[in-house]
Amino acid sequence: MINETVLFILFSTVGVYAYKRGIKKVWLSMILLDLGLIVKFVGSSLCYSEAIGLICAVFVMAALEVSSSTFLVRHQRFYYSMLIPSLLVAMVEYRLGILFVVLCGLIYIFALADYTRTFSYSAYRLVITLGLIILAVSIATYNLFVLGSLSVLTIPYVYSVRRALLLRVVEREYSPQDSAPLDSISEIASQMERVTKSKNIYIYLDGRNFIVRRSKIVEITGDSRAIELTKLVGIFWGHGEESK
Amino acid sequence: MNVALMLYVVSFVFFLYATYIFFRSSVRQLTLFKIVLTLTLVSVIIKFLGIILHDIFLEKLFLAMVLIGVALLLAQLNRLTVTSPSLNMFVFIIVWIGIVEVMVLPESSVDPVYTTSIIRNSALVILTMIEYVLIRKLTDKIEHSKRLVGEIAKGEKATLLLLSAIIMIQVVLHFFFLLSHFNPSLRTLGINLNYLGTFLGSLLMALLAYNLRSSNFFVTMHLGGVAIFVDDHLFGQLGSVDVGLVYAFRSIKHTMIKAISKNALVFSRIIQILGEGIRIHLVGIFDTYERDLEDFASVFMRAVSDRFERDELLIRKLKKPEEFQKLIREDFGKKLLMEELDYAVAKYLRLI
Repeated sequence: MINETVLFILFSTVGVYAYKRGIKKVWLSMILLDLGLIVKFVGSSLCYSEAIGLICAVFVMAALEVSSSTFLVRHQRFYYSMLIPSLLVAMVEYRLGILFVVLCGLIYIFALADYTRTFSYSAYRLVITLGLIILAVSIATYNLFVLGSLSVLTIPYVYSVRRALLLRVVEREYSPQDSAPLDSISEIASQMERVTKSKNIYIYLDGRNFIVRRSKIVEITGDSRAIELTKLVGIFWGHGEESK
Repeated sequence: MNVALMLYVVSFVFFLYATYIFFRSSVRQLTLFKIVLTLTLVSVIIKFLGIILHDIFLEKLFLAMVLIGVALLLAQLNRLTVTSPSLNMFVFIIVWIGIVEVMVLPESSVDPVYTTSIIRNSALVILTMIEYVLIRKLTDKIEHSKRLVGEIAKGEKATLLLLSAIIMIQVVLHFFFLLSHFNPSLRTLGINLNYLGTFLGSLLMALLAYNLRSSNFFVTMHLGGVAIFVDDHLFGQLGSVDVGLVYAFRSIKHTMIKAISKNALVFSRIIQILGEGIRIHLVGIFDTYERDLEDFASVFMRAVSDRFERDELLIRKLKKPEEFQKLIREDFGKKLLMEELDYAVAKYLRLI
C-alpha cells in the first residue's frame, strides 16, 4: 500500500511536470501508469496483467515519441496501429509485453542510429538504454518499485531532450518590414513547389536559413535547422553548421 | 550435415566481410545496413542458443528478429531508391502482424531447428518480393546515372543483376517454406533449404558490400542534372535542369543558394571573377535529399568555382565572343562539368 502510494505520487508529479511543458505523450504515459497502479491496488491478482499491459503501452508510446522524427516511421496512424493492439495483447500475456519492450528498444536504436552530433544525445541514449533494461527486468519480475526508478529516468528526458528540441528553437515570422529577402525566397519556393510538389521548402541563402511552409516564411537559426529538416524530409541527421 | 556446416561457415565469412565493409563506411545513407548486419549476427547467435538450450522463447525471438532484419533491409533500399514513408509503414505493419503471430504460436508449433507459420512466412514472401522490386529500381537508377555521367558512376551492374537473381531465389525459397507448413512431407527438404536460405542471405549482404566498396553510386545516382551559365548563356549541361528553377535562382543576387524539399535538393552558386566582369552561374538538382548529397554539392560547387578562378586562359576565351561560341560548339562546358564532377567525387570519397 505504501509502495503504491509513493509510486502514485511520483508518477503524478512527473505527469504534472510534463503537462506543464506540453509533452503530451509523457503525461499520458504517467496517467496510464497511475491507472496501472489503481488497477493493481483495487483489483485481484488477475488484474495484474492488465496493469502490465498499461505499462507496456507506456513504453510503446515513449519509443514512438523518438521514432516519430525518423525515416522509419513517421505517421500518426502507425502509432495507433502499434499502440492499441500491443496494449490489448500485452494485457493477456506478459511475456508478449516483454517482446514489445524489446521491439520498442529496437525502434529506439533505429531511431537513434540516424542521430548525429547536434545534441548531446549520448547521455540521452544511455538513459533510454538503462530505462529499457530496467523496464524489461521489472516487468519480468513484477517489481513495481523498479518501475518507479524508471519514471525518475523520464525527468532528464522531459528536461533535456524536449528543451533541446523545443526551447532552443528560435523561430520568428517575417513581416514585410523585415530585412529578409522575401521576394527571392518566395520565388524560389514557388518554383520548388511547382517542380517537387512539396509545400514545405527549406532555403539556404548566403548563411541564412529559411523554411517556407505553405507560403509562410520563417527564419531558422542554429540547431533548429536540423529539426526543421527532419520534419521536412523525414531523415534525422542533425548537425546544422557544417554547410555554412 | 557436413554440407550444412560448410554453408554456415561460408555464410559466417560472408557476414564478417560485409560487416567489415559496412562498418568502415561513414556514408550516412547506408546506416541501416549496419543495423541489419548487427541484427543478423545477433539473431544467428540467438538461433544457435535456442537450439543448444532447447529454448522456445529464443527461437521465437529469432523468428521475430529475422522479420525485423528484412524490414530494415527494405527500409535501407527504400531510402536509396523510392524514399517512400508509406512503403516503410506498410512493411512495418506486415512485420508487426508477423511478430504477433510468432509470439502467440503454441510451444508445440515451434521447433528450434525449423519453424514455419502461415502469417510470418507469407510476410516473408511479400517482403522478399518488395525487396526484388527495390533492387531492380536500384539497378535502374545506377544505369540512369551511368548514362548521365558515364564512367564516373561506378555501379557494378553484374553484381546488381546477381543480387536480383539471388532475391528471386529467396522469393521461391520462402514460398516453398510456406508450402512446407501445409505439407509435412516437405519438412526435411525445408530444413536443408533453410541452410541455403542463410547462405543466400549472407551472399546478398556480401555482394552489396562488395558493390559499395569502391562505388560512389550513392552520390551520382541521385543527380538529376547540372548546368552552367556564363553571362546568361548556357555554357554546358549534364542531364536536365528545370528552366523555371534556373530562372528563379538566376534572378537572385545571393551567391550561394540551396533549396531543399522532401524529394529534391537544388544548389546554385554565382561565381564572380574579380576584375573580369564575368558572371558564372552553376545550378544543379538531386532527385532526393540526403545529408551526403548536400555535402557533395558543396564540394562540387567549390571545385567548379576553383576551376574558373584559377584557369585564366579559359576566362580570357570566355570574354571573346568568337572563342566563346567555339567552346560551346565543342561542348567544352559539358566536358568541364564532367571533369569537375569526377574530381569532386574522388575528393568527396577521400573526405568521408
